[in-house]
Amino acid sequence: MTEFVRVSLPESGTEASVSAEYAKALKLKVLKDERAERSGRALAPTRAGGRPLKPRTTVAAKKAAANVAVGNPDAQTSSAAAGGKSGGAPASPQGAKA
Amino acid sequence: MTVIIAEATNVSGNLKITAALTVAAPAAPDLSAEIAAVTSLDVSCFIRSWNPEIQTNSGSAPPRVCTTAQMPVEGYSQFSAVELRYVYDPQAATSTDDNKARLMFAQGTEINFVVRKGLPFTTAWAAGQYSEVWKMRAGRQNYVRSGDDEFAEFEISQMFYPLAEPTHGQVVA
Repeated sequence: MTEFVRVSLPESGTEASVSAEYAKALKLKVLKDERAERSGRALAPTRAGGRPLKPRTTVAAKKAAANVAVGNPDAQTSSAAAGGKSGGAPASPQGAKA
Repeated sequence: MTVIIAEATNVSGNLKITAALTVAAPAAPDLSAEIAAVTSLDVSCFIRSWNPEIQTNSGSAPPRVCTTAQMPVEGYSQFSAVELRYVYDPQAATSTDDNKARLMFAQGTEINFVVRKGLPFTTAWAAGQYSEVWKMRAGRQNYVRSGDDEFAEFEISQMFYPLAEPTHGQVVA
């Protein structure tokens, strides 16, 4: 099966889908890798060099992580209830109210 | 009334076919940006023949009790997949000149064949020339041979599937 890539054509500036081999042979500017969509799920975003981007951390998650480090269970509970993803085990709803 | 003896044009040597990746306005293919683009390829000396076939259905309306004659009526046009056979070099990299058609016509690629009839293939494309544009999707490349005798050559047989009706127009600069 042909591996396709989206390229920009130098003269017209329009886009076309060509085989990856063809794009490489003609040194065409690849715009988008169509293999990313084959499974219906986009590839993870990468930097220009191809290295993966660092996963983003929310402020709440950072707070929760910091509170775990200093051993403040109340703060941990509140940040977990606020949607923080990192930290210790999630507290029960009752604990959050208390 | 004057009798006009219409002059016919020989097909041999008078067919030029350029494969272009994009043709924005098929009725007016662009000379510099599309036909002469670095991504386009003159396949006149790659392919064996070019003769796409179009069939038009004909039928007749259902008769009535009083009908005594049924007249033919034009139906839909049916475009057939076009088989192209072209040469390649089995022992060269796909990036070599001899394999440029093989490389460009990867299965699934959409190709616009810009066809010029009636001028020698050696004549360069120029603005004002009449052309046809066939937009097709390339099928599987089958590596075959042209025949069984001592003149046979290795070649690729590939079906191309029309994506739109051919457009007749003129090349623009």
